[in-house]
Amino acid sequence: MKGKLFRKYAVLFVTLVTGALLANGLIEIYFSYQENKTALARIQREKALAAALKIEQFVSKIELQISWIAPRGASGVSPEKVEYVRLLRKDPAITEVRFIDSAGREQLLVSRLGMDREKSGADFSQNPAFLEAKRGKTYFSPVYFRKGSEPYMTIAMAGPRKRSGVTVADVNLKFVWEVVNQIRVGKAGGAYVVGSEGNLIAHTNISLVLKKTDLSSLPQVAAARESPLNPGQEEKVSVARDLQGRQVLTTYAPISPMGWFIFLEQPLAEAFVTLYASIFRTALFVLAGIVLSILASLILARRMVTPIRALRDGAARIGAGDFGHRMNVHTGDELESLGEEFNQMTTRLQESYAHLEEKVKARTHDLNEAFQQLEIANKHKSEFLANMSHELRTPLNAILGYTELIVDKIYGDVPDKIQEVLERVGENGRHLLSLINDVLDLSKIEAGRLTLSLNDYSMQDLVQTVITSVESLGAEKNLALRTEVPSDLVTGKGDEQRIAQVFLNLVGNAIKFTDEGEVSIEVATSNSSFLVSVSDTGPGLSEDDQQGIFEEFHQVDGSSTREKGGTGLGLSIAKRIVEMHGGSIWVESTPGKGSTFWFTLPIRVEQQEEQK
Amino acid sequence: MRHKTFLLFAILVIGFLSGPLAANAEKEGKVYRIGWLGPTYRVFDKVLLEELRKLGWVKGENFVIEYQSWGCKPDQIPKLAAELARHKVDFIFAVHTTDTFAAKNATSKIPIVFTMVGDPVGYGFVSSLARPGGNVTGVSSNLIEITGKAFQLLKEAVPGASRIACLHNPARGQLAHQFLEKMQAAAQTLGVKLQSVQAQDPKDFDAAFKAMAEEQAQGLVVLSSPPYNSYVTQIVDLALKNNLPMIVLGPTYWPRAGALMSYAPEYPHQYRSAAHLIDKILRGAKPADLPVELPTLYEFVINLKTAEALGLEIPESLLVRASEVIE
Repeated sequence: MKGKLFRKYAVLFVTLVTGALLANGLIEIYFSYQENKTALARIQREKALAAALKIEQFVSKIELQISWIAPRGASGVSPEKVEYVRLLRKDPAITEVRFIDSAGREQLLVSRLGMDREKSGADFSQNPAFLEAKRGKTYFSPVYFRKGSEPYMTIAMAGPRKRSGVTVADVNLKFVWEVVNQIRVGKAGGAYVVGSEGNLIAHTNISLVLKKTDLSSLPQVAAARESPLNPGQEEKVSVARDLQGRQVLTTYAPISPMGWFIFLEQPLAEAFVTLYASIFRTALFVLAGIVLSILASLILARRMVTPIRALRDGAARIGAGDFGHRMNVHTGDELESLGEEFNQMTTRLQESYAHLEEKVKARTHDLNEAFQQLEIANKHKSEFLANMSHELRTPLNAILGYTELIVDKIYGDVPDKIQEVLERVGENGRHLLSLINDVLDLSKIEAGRLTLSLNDYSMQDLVQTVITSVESLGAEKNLALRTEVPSDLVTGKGDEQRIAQVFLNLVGNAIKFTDEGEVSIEVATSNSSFLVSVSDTGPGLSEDDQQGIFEEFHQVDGSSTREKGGTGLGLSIAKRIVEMHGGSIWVESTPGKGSTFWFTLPIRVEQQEEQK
Repeated sequence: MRHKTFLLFAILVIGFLSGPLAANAEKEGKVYRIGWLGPTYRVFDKVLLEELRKLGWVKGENFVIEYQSWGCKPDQIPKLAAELARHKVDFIFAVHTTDTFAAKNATSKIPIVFTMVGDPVGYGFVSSLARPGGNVTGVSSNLIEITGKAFQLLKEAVPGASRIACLHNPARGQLAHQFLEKMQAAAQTLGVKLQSVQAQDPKDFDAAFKAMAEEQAQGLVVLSSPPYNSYVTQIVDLALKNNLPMIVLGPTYWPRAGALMSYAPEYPHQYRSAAHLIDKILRGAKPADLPVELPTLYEFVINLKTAEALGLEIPESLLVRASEVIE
């Protein structure tokens, strides 16, 4: 992940620059190869043409001289010997010349090596030289070797008339060898002459010629023999293999009258020395260019990537909350302005963040204050209520006491009609008293004045006491009261009276809201707590009612409360008491099927839980 | 990292540049030693050295010559040849048949080039002209082949001659024998009587010419050979004294000295051809693969003063043929 961009840039730059350099180098090499080849071939071709011309001139000069002498024998009679001697004198390449009459008989032989002879009458009538020349053409024999080592060719020419004889000259071709020998193409290149049959006529290495080497299988020779070029024709360059299998650059020129070809060749390795040098130079420059460009690319990529990395790292720091960080990018381009934008953004972010923090602090402070005030107010309210309840209870007790005294006829007889009213007064007074008690309890709890008196108690006894006190209520509604309390329950520690208050509230409610069926109390232990449930078969509670049932002044619905009586504070007080013991209370209920109230109570409560 | 890259680059550059330099440094600096075996240093050697120079071989620069010349003492030749072989020269240049013979006996490894051997195959120097096959090659003087021609030329100069003598050196053995055979064949063709006369030393010359005079020879064909070439004037004088028209199968200094005619290969050209062979051998060719060269140019020289002195009318056919006429 890290350094990916650097690599990308570096690879991109290097690829681009190297590719361009390589392409340029290769194109240069290709063109210089072509140009070099063409230029070399042109030079070779010029040389070949010059050499061919030399050889042609050599032959045509002899041909011309024979053509001067040939008509002398027109009548079929031998021309003067002196003419032939002169011919020999003029052209040292002619070793022997003979005159053959129209019947094919040798009439005269003049030789440089052997003895001259006249009228030998030797039969030449079937000799190809005689036959060809008689047909009116100049005859060029294939090359042959005297004594196995001297190259010779016979040139024969007839006189102009039908009865003309034929002049036959044996021509030493050492001159052609000398021409070929003198041709140097570079240091290792040379020339050779190939006859019309593809046989080697002249070569720098004479022994190859004397071995009668056949070159017709060499592709360049075969090609030349197939389509001889005209001297003016543009040469196509060919790279071929020579006899030794070396690669050579070869060109040729035809030697026309005899149908020979002169080939010039130069080993490629030598011909292209300058080309190779220039290729080498180009390669060197390309290499140097590549190395430099790689270095430059690396530096450039680094320069491009470094600010980007700085931006990334800066963004990461700012993102982590370091608003004091500033980008430090000085590239003088878009990246720098990006960095500046970042910095401005950070500044604004820092400002607004600081502002926000102050605001939050102030609001929190305000909230705390309001909360404290609220708490104080609440406390005051609770204290007021507690005091009020106490103050209310005293006159109410007096009212109730006096009422009872009147009912008990302490103050004399009371008419029946008044008796009945007084009982109703006492009944409502007691209800009012229990209301005030509840309010007092709740107020005490909320004001933090209620303290538990923690003592050992027996849960069985406690449950029994509760049952005893509500038995009559159950019996009135014809309800079954069932308890299930294990006999081996351990002794608990807590405020027995308050716990009994919770039981009474729950059981009282159950009896109150249940019209038929049963109310059952079950106690179990789990995890060093008592688990208590109070179930009934009453109307049950809806989901919504279950939600707020433990809140102060909550009643399921007005009508039933009015009918059933109650302050709406009982469950709230029960909840507070359970929680003060460190337990919890909840309800499970299905509407129409009854409700079960559960609460847990730590078995040993050593300390009262703080109320919030 | 950058230092490393630079170092690598530098090494590459240095490597590339030093490659060609190292190749150039390996230049041939060899100086060849050529052994020279012959009678005396003569004018033709200059021709040889000039031609060698044209081919890139400069005496004292890339070759040196160890001269072993025997002057008038042919019996020294084997010893001198052995000396050259012992000195392990790179190459032996043997002028004449006798030199070649001695050199070939002295070594079968050192390349030998000759210029004046009449019949290299006959002497067994080479197995064939086209493929010498051994350590010897050279330029043949081809004198035997043109013997008949020389005879005929003499007969043309002296048409009426019916008795013609030939002078040769018996020391040449095989060559002298072939010469004689050729002469006899030519005599038969031309219908003249041949007198064979031998002479090995200057002291034999008087007797030889005396024998010719006794046989009434009307012409003389001389096969030149090293000892004869040293006594040209003596032989020419004897011929003139005896009124003998003479043709020599030998160098042009014969007619210049007063012989009537000479017919032979062009000697300077022989040496030039030899120089080309030497060049090829020094460049690595094997003598076994270098065909023996036959002369391409022949010189026919006539001394008209001698003709006049002899009272001879030289026919036009001869004058036309002559490459040089001395008047």
